[in-house]
Amino acid sequence: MKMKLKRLRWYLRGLFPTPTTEVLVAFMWIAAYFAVSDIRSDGQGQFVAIVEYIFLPVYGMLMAAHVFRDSRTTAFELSLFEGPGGVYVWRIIALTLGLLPGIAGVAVITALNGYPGFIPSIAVRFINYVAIAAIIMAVLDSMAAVITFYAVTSALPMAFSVLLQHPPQNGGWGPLMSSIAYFLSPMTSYEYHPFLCYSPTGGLMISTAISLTVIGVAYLIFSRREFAP
Amino acid sequence: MRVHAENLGVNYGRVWGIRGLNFDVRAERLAVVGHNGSGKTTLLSVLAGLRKPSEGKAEVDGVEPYDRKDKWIAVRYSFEKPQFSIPVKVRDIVELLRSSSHCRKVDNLVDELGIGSFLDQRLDGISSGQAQLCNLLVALSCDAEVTILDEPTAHLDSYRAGVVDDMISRRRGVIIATHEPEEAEAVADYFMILKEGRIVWQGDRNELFSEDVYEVTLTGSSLPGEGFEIIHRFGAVLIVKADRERLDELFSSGVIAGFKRAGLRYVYASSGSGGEEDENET
Repeated sequence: MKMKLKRLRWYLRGLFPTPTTEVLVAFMWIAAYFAVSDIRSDGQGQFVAIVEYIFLPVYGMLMAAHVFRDSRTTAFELSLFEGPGGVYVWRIIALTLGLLPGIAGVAVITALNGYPGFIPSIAVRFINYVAIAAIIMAVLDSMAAVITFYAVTSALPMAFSVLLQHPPQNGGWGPLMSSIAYFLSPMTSYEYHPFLCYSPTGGLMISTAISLTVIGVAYLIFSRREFAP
Repeated sequence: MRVHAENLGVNYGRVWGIRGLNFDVRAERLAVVGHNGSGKTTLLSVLAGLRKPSEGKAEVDGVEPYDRKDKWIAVRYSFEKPQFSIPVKVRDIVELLRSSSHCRKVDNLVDELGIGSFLDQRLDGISSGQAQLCNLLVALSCDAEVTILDEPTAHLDSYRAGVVDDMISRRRGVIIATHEPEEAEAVADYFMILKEGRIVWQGDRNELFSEDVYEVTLTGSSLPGEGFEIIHRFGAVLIVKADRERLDELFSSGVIAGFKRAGLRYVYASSGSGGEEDENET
């Protein structure tokens, strides 16, 4: 138990760099509050855009950057933790703990303002942020990983918002495209689901299943990758 | 310890870090020597199990290290350029090592390496020498079948370098890479010189010091007189072939400040592995 706490502490150190994170979290919550308040006048799309395309990706990037370490540092940690299992698991746990307060705060704000329907898609967003960070951490280092994470969590959902508002020629998106949409942009897909072949509930379940699979696959890749100096 | 390689090669795209290495070494401490870019770190990363060869194979004690399931415990390593941009404290490393049942020498090494004086500093705020000591602590404080040390005394002051070399020279199952001939001679019992990814010389201490060739340190700028043959010059240090009596005379007359049997410097010079860099360094 003592050993586990020491390993957790290794990755928790510096996870919440003050005041950067405090300011960002406060700003994100305030923005979420006003975006939720404006749903009645501007519609739900505005809220999704602010939360899924801007604030959650920035917050997620800040947290994920903490575990996106260079090969040399990872090689050092692999020796210290005596293998990739410890490094991977504790990084994922630290990342989960880092993402939790920011994303949970947004979910609570939407619920308190009378829109509890957003909670499932925000919760799934949380799980697939962990999955996206895990797979990126398994294949990329440092800055390349940070940039990729932001592109995947911000630019791709934004692209899906355009894609999902216009039906394809055959009238709807197939299972593969619908699964990808729910995985990469659950809030957008939840909002613009009419042309997807899965219901919002089914889509979010598929997204969760994909995320958990990706976390497992990422471990396999991470444990086989060469972190040579 | 037995270290064996067959046609070992590692490439980075179209460039080969090492290529066509064949050796079968039985030694307690192997030193891989060569100038920058000679392939030392690449070879060590394969022997540490961190990198798979692009061709051929390497074995340490009969096992290919990169295929070992227990490599993280059986092989400990420390690589050069220790720059850790992680916001943990040195104390966190010490406590993590203490919590491992494989690392029983942590507290002794913390004292011997002088790490106690900066335990509460963050890893991303310490000097490169202090980071190197942390690196060495992780490599040396745990039980391992093989310990791999890449430039272990780089960034260290001469006092700490001496302490570290003394520690290494008392261990078994060590592979070090260095570009300092003196360090290699101080700790190893088998030597391998790499140049541009290939072995240009290898041998044990007897082979290294077998000839009447000496390293002579000049007091002036040149070596006057006769009775010796200058093989190579590394600044104020000359590699000369001479009788010991003749060198005693030169020492007595104050022409030279001292002399000793030439080891790796001579092999360096005769194998063409030295060059300008070494001449400038001396």
